[in-house]
Amino acid sequence: MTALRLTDVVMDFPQVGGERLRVLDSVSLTVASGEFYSMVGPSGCGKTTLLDLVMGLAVPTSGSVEVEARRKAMVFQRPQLLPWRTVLGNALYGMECGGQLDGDAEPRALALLQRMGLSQHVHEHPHRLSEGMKQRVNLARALLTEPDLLLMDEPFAALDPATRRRLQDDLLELWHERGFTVIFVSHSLAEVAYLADSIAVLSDKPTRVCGVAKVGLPRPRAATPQAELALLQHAEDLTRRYFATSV
Amino acid sequence: MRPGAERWLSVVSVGTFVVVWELVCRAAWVSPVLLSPPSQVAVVGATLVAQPRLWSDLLYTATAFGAALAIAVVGGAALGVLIGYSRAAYFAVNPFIVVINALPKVVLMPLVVLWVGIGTTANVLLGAVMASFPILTATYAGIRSLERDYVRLARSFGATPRVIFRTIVVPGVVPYLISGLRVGLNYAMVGVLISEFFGSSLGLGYRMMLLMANFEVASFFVYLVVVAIFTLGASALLHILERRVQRWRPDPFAATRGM
Ligand SMILES: Nc1ncnc2c1ncn2[C@@H]1O[C@H](COP(=O)(O)OP(=O)(O)OP(=O)(O)O)[C@@H](O)[C@H]1O
Ligand SMILES: [Mg+2]
Repeated sequence: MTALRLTDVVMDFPQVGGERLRVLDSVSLTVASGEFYSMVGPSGCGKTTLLDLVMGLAVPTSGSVEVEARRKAMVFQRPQLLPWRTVLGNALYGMECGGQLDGDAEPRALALLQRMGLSQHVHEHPHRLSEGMKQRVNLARALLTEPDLLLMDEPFAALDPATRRRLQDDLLELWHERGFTVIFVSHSLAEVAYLADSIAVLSDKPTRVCGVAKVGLPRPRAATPQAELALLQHAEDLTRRYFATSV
Repeated sequence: MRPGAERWLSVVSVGTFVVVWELVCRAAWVSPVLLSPPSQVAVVGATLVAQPRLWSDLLYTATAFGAALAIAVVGGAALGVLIGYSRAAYFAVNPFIVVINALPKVVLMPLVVLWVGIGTTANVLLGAVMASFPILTATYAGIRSLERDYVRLARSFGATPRVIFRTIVVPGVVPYLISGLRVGLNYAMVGVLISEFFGSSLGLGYRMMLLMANFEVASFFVYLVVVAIFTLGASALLHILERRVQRWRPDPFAATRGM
């Protein structure tokens, strides 16, 4: 089963001078249902743009975007919490937009927030939270909508290593439980080697898919420093042939 | 100076002002026809407060003010939202807004009288017209400065335009609306009072005109104080509303503290 198929997707943006900037240049990729699919590529190569196309927030200049998902949700690159809502209000916001608020919503949100270590903060407003806490609310908001396709745009980039690892493990656990498809954008090879089934390597603009590497390591993947080093080595071996310079 | 001691400066300066005012009048430096001493204003005030006329004037003006402000909020906010949402509406309506805004609104008074005649309708209408412009422009500015990212966020979760309006537009615009209301409040009062000056048979503005014509300066000052208290009261209510709506905001003085 395929969750997502992009075929020859081209995306141009109008520039200030009236010229057009080609960001995506014939991108094709296929993501299997239930797969943990990751994308790495240089900054500004169009990863966020690609996710926008999948979400339907933008329309490609040409090419086709086929999404096989009942419900999709995005964990944004910046947390994008509504400042006038509390943590709980923000966590519920995705469900509210999708018309999914029912009597069960609040207890479910509270349970997930507790699991993410936010139970002390459910009634606080975002300006009092640390970046890591905001990012967890961002993640909770998307997960609570019970997506079968979850798009994540460098969700853990702003976190310290310990928190990042905690959230990565939380994410993996939920992914195992629920079996949704993940598309995970990252700048860290070590991170995607720990998390993903596949790593799509993108070139610089105009962007193409250089290749897709299968990680092929058994799960759960070890979390000791040595194992991490081995993971990183593995990911670099996998992706070396796609990079002129490293990511 | 001790922290907090600056507050007393307000009391001291107002107190000094009143004392000097009293002394100036007692020393007969100005004719009592032009200025009444505060002591006399207080005495006259006490008698006026005991009579029903002051209260019926106040009630009349307050009602017109409330009606004018309500019309201005509904009309101004609705038009502001409309031109904020639609570029076509903006370009169609904006020339009128610019021109009317450039006019001192007082010049509309003769026109208002011509159309609806002297009376309560004219009072409310002038107040409403004057108050709607700051509310309209503030609402428009609020819509223009909405975070695009929040709208994207809502859309990504499948929000309908209705839900976006309720959850993103309204909370984003309300602070602007309130600051528009702060200006609109004064404009509404000015509009109502001016219209009452022109012609009316009741109301604070009408009475002030009458008192002046009869050289009842002390009574005039009493009415002046009543107008000031009323407007301050309305402002204070608005402030409370603002605090309620903005509870989520971080300390508003934090950014400039210690500058
Ligand atoms: N709305 C837009 N209008 C014009 N240009 C845009 C727009 N959105 C993105 N771009 C351009 O498209 C390119 C890709 O942007 P995008 O945000 O997708 O990159 P990215 O791969 O997510 O980068 P990063 O890793 O830094 O987040 C950039 O050159 C950017 O300037
Ligand atoms: Mg990006």
